Amino acid sequence: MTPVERLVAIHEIEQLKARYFYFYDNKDWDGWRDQVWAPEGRLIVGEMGRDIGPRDAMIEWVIGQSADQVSVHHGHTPIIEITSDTTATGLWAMEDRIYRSKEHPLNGDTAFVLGFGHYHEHYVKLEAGWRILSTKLTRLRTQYVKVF
Amino acid sequence: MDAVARLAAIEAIKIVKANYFLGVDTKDWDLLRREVFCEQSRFDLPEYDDASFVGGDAIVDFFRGAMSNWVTVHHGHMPIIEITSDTTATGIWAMEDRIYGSPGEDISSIHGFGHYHETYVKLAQGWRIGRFKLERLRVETGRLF
Repeated sequence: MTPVERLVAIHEIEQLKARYFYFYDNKDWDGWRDQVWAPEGRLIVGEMGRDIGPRDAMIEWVIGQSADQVSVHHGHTPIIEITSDTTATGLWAMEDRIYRSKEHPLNGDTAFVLGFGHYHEHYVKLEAGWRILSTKLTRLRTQYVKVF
Repeated sequence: MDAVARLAAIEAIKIVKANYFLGVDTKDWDLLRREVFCEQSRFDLPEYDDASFVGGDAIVDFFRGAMSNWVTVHHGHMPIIEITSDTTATGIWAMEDRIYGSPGEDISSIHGFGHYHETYVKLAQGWRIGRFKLERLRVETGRLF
């Protein structure tokens, strides 16, 4: 891979993660499935002890988890490493806010969550472009607000 | 420096700063010493009695002493990076930080905003932070119970 190809790959992976956030927060599950994830994609949520995959089963689980909520996810200062022509790793700082309705509280009684942490990710380049192979979320701090 | 080398330098410097935030918030002091700082590094902190810390080891020792018992979250945004020669560069980063101390301390939570003003130097091992200074726009302090 030439230096230019490497910079282009880093840019494409940063755009991939931008689509991850955009489609997720807008609940565009078709976009999230087709333009973000590899078919073998896995979501690893350390705080919940969950390692969920492959993609289609994982997305079904996420849709259920995300029902009736507003979420805001922001990513910062990516560290992308291109490990071959078709593989890469990434680490993103993250901040998220989750707003729940009375009908669908988190953990039974939580209306609002403010969290901070990191995504640790693997990417693969398919015919269609770069896709997420796995993402693991670790938390620095999470605040829960109970109002019900 | 050709256009591609300049873009590669900007990308390398962004990763230095990303490793700075990662090392501080995960308390990975070796990462800071190895990938972020060098002997020439100098940290100026006007809000802290105009303190200056000279050398990567001194900066890391200050961080370790100040932050070991805290949860910290530092985010960087919108870098303005200028490559000034093959081996020097400057940068300005918008920043937001949150610090969570222990219940009972006089000030146990901080939510702040400001900018890092930085220089970078390219050594044999790659780009590293030279001199950097944190200037604040606004700091909100609180108590945790």
